[in-house]
Amino acid sequence: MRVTQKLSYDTYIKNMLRQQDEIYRLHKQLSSQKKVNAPSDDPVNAHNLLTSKTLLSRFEQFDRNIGYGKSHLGMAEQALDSAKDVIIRLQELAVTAASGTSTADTRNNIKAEVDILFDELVSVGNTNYDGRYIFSGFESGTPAFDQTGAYQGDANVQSIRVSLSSSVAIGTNGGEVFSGTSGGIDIMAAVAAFSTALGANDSAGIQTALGDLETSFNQVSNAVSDIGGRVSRLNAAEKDISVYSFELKSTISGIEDVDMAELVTDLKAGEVAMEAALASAGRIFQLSIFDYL
Amino acid sequence: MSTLNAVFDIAKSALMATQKAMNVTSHNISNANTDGYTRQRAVLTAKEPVIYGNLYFGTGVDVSNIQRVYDSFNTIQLRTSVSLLSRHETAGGHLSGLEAVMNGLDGSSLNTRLDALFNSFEEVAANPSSYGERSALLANANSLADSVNAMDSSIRLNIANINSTAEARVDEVNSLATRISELNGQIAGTEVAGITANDLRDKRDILLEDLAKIVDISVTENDNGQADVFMGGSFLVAGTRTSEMSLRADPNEPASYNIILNGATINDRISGGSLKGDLVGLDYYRDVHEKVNLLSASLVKEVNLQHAAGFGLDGSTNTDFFAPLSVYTRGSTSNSGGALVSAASVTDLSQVTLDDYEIRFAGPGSYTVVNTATNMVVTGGAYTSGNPITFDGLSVTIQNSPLAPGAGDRFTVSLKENAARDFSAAVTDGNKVAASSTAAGVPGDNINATALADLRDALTVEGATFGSFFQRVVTDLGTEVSNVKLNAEAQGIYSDEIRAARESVSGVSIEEEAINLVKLQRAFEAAAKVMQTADQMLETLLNIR
Repeated sequence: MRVTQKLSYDTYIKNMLRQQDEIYRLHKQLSSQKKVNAPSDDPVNAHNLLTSKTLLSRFEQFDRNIGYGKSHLGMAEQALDSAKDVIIRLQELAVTAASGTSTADTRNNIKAEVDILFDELVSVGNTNYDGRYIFSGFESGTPAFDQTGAYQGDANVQSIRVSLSSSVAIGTNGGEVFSGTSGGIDIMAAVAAFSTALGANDSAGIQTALGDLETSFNQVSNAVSDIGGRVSRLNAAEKDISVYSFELKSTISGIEDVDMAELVTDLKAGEVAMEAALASAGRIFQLSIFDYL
Repeated sequence: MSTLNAVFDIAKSALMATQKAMNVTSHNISNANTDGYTRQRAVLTAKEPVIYGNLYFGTGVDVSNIQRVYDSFNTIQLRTSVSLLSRHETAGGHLSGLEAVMNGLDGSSLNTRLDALFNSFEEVAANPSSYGERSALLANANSLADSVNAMDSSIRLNIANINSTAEARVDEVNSLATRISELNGQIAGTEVAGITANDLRDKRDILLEDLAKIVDISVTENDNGQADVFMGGSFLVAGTRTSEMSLRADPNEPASYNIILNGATINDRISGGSLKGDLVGLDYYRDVHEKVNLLSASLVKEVNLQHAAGFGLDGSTNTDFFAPLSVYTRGSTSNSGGALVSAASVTDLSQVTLDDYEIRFAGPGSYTVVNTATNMVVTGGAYTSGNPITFDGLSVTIQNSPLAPGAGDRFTVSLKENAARDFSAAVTDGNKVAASSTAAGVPGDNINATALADLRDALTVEGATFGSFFQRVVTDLGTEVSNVKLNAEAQGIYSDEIRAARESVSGVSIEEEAINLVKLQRAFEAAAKVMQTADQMLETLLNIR
């Protein structure tokens, strides 16, 4: 091949530019620490990257949902625990009132405390968290129980998504737990009846109350353990999410992040090639026929 | 003739010829770095001999021709490869621009904002009675709208830019064609005398290469040395005549142009050059724009349908979450009648398909409505001016104004044409976000909010979810960008090689010319010596007493 000066100069310029472009590309990766900055950098993995990022953002949302769920269920559990305490005290009072030594006077005294405990039970039922009555079903703007202990909410329970395929109820329906709207005993009515029986010095009524209070205690206890079950479901879901999220993050990092060792080696190689090109160019350009003619 | 006088003449011819050859060499040296210069060579030939006393005597040397050292096949190859290279480079530039607009992997991309919107719906589902989550939802809806609007306006702006670039290129083609035809005239005029118009040909080759960068051409040289240029099977330059290339707006696609040469549209007949790169880029922009519009329209349709079914904290229902879709209509610019669309609206969002339609008139009295996506006739009937035409949840009223529609008149109806441009959140008060599924369920009911959040998994856009549809668009685009870049790179290397081959044949080598210089100098000295010797011999004769 016939090689002219223009040809060799042009070729050197082109190669030099190519080397510089390569070094620039590596520098860009080094400073951004990302080897995929646009889908065209790695079209095969771009889709994977995008779906992984979407999935990761959903998992982060599930994680937040679980957080809400746990705090709501925690509030309900706390309230039901104090309801249990109230019922235990009521049971103690019922046992005292039921004993043969109780007179109409002592029963009247007990009635006074029972009425206070009734109010306390109503106020537990009306527990308000973050502006919401937690036992009112969807009608969280309305107190769950009125002064007489009648349930004012609806029969629903709020649920939220905790994974791609499942959702968990994060509330407890006050009607179900306290008023027995879906089978079971109306605790409020039972306590009110107990108070009435005490006022009327009605031994048979007090005996009935004793039985009803036991059933009530069990009803609330069951609700508490139900909450415990759901909390452990949330914990399990949370654990799954952290495992999946970790997997997703490592997938994303595998596609997107630079391998420092590889990058630095490539950069070094690029610099060496560039130096070699410069050196050979310098030597060739010194050659001139006019030095010999 | 074998006289000393003849020797003088021979020496003179050598002195003259070496000077001429020296002229060519110096011309070569001075153009060693001129782009497109073809090295020239003085062709030395022995002059006609004379017969004297039964012997042939030579009469010296002459420069019979100055040749261009030139490989015509290489020139054709170079033009073809330059056309392809400039097509790929131009298309690559446009596609990279589009990729930047779509901003696929960035943290602020539409993808991320779409995720954020649906996460917000879930957040509202988790705390339906709280205002904070609702206002965060509205903020996310607005930032999604911002990103869709920005995408739309960038795409429209870039389409307009590419169109004006194409206009400039067409002007350039016409000006190059004129200059080539002028050179054709000069070359033919010069060469009629049997002389090769070397430098004019070089100039014309440069212009032809410039032309090939814009559009792929084929060139044939006719008998008198004129280059005829054809483009897409139609002539642009024939000898000294040119035919003007022009751009004309497409009657059915207002934003796109047809390239017209000799009365024919040649868009599909050109395959190379930056003009083709523009066309390829425009196709991509339009395709992606349509997809972004479809995605926006689907989001509005699905979210609004679900949202209208729910109830806000203030008891409001049947409210739009996003601004409702507007019906876009356009009469074809080739319509012959006088009818106009006077009203168009969505009557039932749930019946809407988001496909485009065409209302076609067979005559002033009857129409058919065709879904242009499926090419199926949706409805049709007798036309009465001012009576609404209803189909697929849409109502379009066409009115005589004052003339009736003509046969073959067409009206395009589209719900998605401006969907991305008009995409915005309609709800401004967080209390109106319809999280509840019943009026009585307010404020704790989150069923509708959950249903809204679940739309992210619904296969609503061409069999994909909103998110995966967008991801598909971005990924396809990424693949295309990387393909075009690879093509451009490969074509660039190929072009470099052809250019090197051309340079190898036609380029000026300084070494070669320097040696020629020395060679010619010595030849000149020798010829001068011959003259001196002949002169001395003549003197010797004259001095005989």
